[in-house]
Amino acid sequence: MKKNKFSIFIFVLFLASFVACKKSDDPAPIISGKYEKGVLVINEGNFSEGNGSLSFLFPNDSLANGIFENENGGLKIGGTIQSVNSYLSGTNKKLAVVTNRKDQVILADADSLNFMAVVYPEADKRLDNPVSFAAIGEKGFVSNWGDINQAFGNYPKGFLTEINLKNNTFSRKIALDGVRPQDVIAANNKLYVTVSNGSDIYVYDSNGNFLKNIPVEQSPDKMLIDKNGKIWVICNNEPDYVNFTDNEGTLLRINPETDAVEQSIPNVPCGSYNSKIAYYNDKIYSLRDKKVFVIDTTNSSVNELISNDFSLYGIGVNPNNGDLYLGEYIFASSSRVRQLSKEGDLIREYLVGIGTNGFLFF
Amino acid sequence: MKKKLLMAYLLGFLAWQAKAQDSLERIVIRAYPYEKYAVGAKIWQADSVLLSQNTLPISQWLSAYTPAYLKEYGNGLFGSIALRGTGAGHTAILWNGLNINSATLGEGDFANIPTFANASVALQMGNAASLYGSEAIGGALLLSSFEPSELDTQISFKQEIGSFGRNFWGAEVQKNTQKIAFKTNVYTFNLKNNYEIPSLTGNTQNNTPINYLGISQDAIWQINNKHTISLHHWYNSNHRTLENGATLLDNNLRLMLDWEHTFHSSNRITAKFAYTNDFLRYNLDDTTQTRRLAMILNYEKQLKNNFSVRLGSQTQYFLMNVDAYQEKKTELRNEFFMFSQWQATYRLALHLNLRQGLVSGYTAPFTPALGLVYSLQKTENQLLKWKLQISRAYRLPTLNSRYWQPGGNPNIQAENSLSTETGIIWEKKNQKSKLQAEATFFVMQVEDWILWQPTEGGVWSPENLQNVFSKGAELSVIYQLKIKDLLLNSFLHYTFSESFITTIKNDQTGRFEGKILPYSPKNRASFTLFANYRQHSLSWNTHFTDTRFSDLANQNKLKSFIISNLSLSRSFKLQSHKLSINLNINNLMNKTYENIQNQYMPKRNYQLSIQYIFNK
Repeated sequence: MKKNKFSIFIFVLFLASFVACKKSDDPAPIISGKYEKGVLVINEGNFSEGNGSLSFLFPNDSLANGIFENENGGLKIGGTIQSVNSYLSGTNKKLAVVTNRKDQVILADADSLNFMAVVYPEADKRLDNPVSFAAIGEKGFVSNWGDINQAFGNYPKGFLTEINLKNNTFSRKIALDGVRPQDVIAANNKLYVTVSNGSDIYVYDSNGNFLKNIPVEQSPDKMLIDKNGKIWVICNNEPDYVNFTDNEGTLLRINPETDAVEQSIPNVPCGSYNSKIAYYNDKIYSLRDKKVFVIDTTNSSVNELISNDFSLYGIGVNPNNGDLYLGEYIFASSSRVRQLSKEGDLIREYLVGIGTNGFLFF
Repeated sequence: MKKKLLMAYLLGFLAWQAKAQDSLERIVIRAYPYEKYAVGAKIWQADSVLLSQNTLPISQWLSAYTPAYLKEYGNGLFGSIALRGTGAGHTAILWNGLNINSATLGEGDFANIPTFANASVALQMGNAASLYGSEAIGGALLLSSFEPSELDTQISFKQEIGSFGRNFWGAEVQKNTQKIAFKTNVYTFNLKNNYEIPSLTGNTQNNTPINYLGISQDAIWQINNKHTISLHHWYNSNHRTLENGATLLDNNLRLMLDWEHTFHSSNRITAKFAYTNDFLRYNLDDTTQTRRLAMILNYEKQLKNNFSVRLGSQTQYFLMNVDAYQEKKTELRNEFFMFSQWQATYRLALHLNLRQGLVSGYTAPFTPALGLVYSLQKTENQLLKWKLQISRAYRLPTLNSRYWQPGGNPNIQAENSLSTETGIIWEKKNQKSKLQAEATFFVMQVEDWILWQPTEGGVWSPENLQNVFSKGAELSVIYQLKIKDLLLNSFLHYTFSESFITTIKNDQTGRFEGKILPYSPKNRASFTLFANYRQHSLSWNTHFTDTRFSDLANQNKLKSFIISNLSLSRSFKLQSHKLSINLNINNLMNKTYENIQNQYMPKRNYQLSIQYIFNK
């Protein structure tokens, strides 16, 4: 990141000064490619205000906050962001921003951040506490907890929402009775859904037809795909919800060709719920409060990388250089984001939006 | 079931009333019994005519007519107050002298208090804990449920319809014999709240319905010249659907028995015994129940003609049945106090109030307040006074901060505050007009402000972390003019306040030092013009809220707004009966605004009400 191209730096600096000086009644210039390279910072926002936002770290290390509002004439996201995923529509890179507190899936162009469309719950509750998004071809799938009155009861009424990404409209709901789904991810032209109130991963084909369930450990949470195209999932196991003692989960590797569990790494420090993991070069990083742990997938070793001086909520690793990005666990104020080297040394700190819960790298 | 209960209550009181015997003067109650011990304090009193015309939640009422900032989470959904730049938990709500803030949260929901249920509403600004106890740091909201009418009998019915599926119905029966006075008040309120709110595609429809039912009953029995017994009862049930589809049910029961004994003409003993039961259910199975038994004892003595003193104690016993506490909890709080007022000279009046709380597990600070008023000019038509008050205040930790599992902190301590205020009061009147102007300047610090933060284990836990300094000025101008049958009243209230974070103790970087507290607007103003001509009246209200930050780091600012409301009323006299028709147009200029970020308030909306009053 530090060795970035100077030309982009000058270009972005020029654009930033232009935006800063423009009068509010000037039409917003459409600048394609403005966010083509850099780090998209996902700020969840707090639940009472639904003030999720997006920030961007440019290759020259400059920062822009509130970029969705800036690029869309002040239009607000207006929800708490559960996840942001990028997907391809033809050759164009797009973003799906999933929020609750105002249930919606916002679709935007990834390079310009220009708003394209939004899917709302409407009368038939086509979205209800949505969590995560994954795309297969021209179909987008969104996991939903369903009615919050039932989501944490004995029989949640979760579901998947299928979105037509060709015309950006709602297609249908796929029922997940008894399930509170968490993460969704696409691999090998199939869709994987973690059943957070159980010990399964559900597998669907590209048309949304149920194929099978993969038994895993208790409370499977976030998933990611490694350099070999394999799926990693962190299972929170059975956290102590009474005393909230330090939790340890299990990392599992799943081969999407066979849907077999190929590797299991126990005793991985993680959260009790909403556990975050990141991947870089055979290493998986996990968060637990102020600490970052590194898990070497080649020998299943688990080591503490750093102990930070504030609580952490979001984690990401830049696939280009292995730099680690950490987001502060705070909802009453803007979060601090720390950029660290692979070795855990502080490179830079930024002040972004509220409750940074993840990063996308472009 | 609810209907049967209502009927039982009504019949009970009617039967009691039938036994009344005439032997004494009609009962008169002072609206604000602590006024003489609040010398030097700034007090705002709601206009009784405007109050009687409204059915709004008190959050919207205060937002329109006072300089206070109300943090409303949407229309009638949840509202907290910020007085003098303090937080939601820094204002005590007193109902007939009893603090009814939620003991678990340590704050009150101002959207859950309808104006219809109370006979008088007052706000005392600034530190008032020596008078009212815990939480009165920014101020205190003083509700009085009953002020007996001077008429023998008054029965009224009110029906109101309005925008967004608004439907209010209320009935009130009042009787004032020379021995017994009573009032029964029943009301229901339904609101679909289906107004348009901004969205990415233009507007979408809000869907946060509210269904409210309330009953309040008050009775005062003046046994003889020495003994008076009062009973107060208030039950409300408020079912709300929040923006995320979650449901919130609030059931609040409040009962009070008040005995007053006067002897040797100037000595008085009062004893209040109260029971409250606050039940809150979030969604289907997350419940919180707090029951409270309270006893407030007072002995008041008038020494000579110029010195009075009141000694008293307050005992509160809480029983909590809260899912998140994992077991039933109890807590005993005792407070002892002394109020005194001395008219030292013709021009100088002073008060000295002292309070000490005793609570197991932590220390409540000793809380004195000293105030004075000096009359610089005192003639029949003109009054110019200088006032000064120095006071301490405190806020006991909420029950949640002690007992919540996980995270509750048994070592949490009380917040405390020190405040100084001074000002000028000017009153001028003649036969046709009256002008009252008051300017107040204040500085205040709040220390050990409790914040919830994630701990080493990732659990959120409260600690005494934040110190805040605030300063500001308040200006009130009330002007009344009478020209033949035309009566004009105008009210101007303005507040300037700045609240800075001086430190957050565990933040080594000092990044919040000097930052303005979130949701603390620098300027707030409210102007109301009320005109009454014979049986017609018109009220114009405009209020302004300045920009305010929504976060501790002061990175995000919300827009300022000006909102105007218009009210037209016409009444018809039919012998001893009266019929009133009232039209309210709220947010006349159709502004989009938010008190809390992304919690939009409704644009222009209408309320039409008809009230029938039978007087005898």
